[in-house]
Amino acid sequence: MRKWLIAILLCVLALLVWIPLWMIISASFMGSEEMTQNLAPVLSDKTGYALWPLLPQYPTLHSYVELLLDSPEFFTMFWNSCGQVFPVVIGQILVGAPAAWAFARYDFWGKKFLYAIYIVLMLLPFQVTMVSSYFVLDRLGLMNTVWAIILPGAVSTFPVFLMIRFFAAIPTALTEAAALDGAGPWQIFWYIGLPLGAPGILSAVVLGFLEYWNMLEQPMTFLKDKTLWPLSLYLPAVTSENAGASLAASVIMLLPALLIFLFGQRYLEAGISASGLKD
Amino acid sequence: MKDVFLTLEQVNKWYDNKVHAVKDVNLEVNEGELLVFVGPSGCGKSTTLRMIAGLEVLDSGVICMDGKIINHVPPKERDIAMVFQNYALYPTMNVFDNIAFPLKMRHMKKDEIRYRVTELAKTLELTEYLKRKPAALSGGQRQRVALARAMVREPKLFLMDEPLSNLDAKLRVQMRREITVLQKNLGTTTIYVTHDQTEAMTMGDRIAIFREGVLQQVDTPQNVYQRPENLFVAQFIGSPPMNIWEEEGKIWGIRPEHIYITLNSDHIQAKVMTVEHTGREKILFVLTQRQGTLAVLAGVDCSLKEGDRCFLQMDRELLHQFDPDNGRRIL
Repeated sequence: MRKWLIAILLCVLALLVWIPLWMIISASFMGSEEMTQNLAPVLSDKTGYALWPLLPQYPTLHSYVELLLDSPEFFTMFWNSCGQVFPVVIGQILVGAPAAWAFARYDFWGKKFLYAIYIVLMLLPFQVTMVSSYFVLDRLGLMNTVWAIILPGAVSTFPVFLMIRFFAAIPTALTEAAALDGAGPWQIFWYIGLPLGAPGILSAVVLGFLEYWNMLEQPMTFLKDKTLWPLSLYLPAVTSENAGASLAASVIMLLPALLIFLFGQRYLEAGISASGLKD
Repeated sequence: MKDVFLTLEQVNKWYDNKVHAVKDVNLEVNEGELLVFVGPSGCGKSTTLRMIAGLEVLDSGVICMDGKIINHVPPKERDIAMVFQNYALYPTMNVFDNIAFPLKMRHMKKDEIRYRVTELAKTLELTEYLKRKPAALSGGQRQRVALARAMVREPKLFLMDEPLSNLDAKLRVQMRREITVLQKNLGTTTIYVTHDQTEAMTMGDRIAIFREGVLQQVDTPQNVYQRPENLFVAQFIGSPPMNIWEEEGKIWGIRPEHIYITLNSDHIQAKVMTVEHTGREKILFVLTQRQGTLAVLAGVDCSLKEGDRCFLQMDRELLHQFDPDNGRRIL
């Protein structure tokens, strides 16, 4: 009996969480007239309450057609997102995995100090480092280029912190056995560290992708040229005229993140529990 | 007289400048022999092994292998193979790749690798498991893979760090015999670490007994058993251990099998406290007035039971005597 009660309670809570997503999906199939009518109290001067029906009265693909066929800027921003997020994530692994391996498996001079700096940098929110980052990028001549997004993202400290936990959990006997079997430090990293630390690396990929796919502050601060903006900045520009297209864009933008999440859910959970924190 | 293959001279190891794990160890290992390091946990046997492997750095002393000082030679260049307690098989690789790994690291040709691995797999009865991952193998099979990985590149020296301790008793006895036979066939110098004195006695050409970082005695199993150099060795080797007692300012010892139950009332009077049956024999624990509790081996047909009184005769020729000050053997 208690199990039933808990199940019902959880279903209600799950529905509450699902409502915004359902609203987006159902509204993306609404005609522009129906949308304007329903949302007039919010998006124009009309008084009263906005309506958001569970299902559209006259379902239509008009918003998707408009977005995918008549909005070239959407595609530009979509590819901008891909062109920025994928290099960031690849960079995070290329730079972060060897760094994490070194922190996890080697004792070297200044290790604790360096690790403390990593932790501090990880805990500082973007807003705190924004001004200093701006100056550094400006001095390097990278402002208003995609490198202003890619480079700071690629050397982010969080993936390193995350991967350290996984690399540190690899039994020492394995790396010792490999050393005796004739493997050098790089071979040990390549043949033992990477395959056994794969769950950590994948969880860093998933978390990194989700974070940078949804980034807002970085492109707003470092990219003046709107042709370089990623998709995440397309959505905030919702007006009564393009509300339908914006909601369709939301659904499309959600898809890669959803796929990555479905593919990497196992690693994501492992990553979150290993890091013990995630904002 | 066999050639000396490995020499340890005045080898010392400290941990964190506090724990003196290995103290002035001097040791010679002969070419082709199976030397067993034995001792209780924390006695320094594994640390010494790891120093030979190059996995620990010496704080002082010299390790010489095949005529060359190897103190600063990295593990990969020492031509030493090691079998670890928990097997240390690479979990993401299948059995073939695990065995082939040392050859791959030496950039051996693929055909040669395939030939060597399959041949060795036949010898160790691993052929049907070559495509399996270590997780899908039993303890004994994993142990064989670990042995194969160590043997495949024909190293100059084998190191085995308690390789059988994770196996059940029956398999342990079987693998013990297999390792001994393999070692004899290959003729490769081997150092084997264990805390199990039965394993040490049955496997070793010679055994080296460690205690608190100090090497106590290195000799053949027979000599160690019959003429232990000190009180610790006397009590550590042998099951049940040697009976020890103090009498007239001297420490005396005798093996349980050298005490005989007799009907002659002129001998030591004793009372049976407990009787243990091993199947092949009985171990009587008896209480005496001057020697305290003694373990005595008796045949299965011995009818003495708890509470019975009996008389004991000791073989005076086989009595051991130790210095009460330093525990060293006197007689």
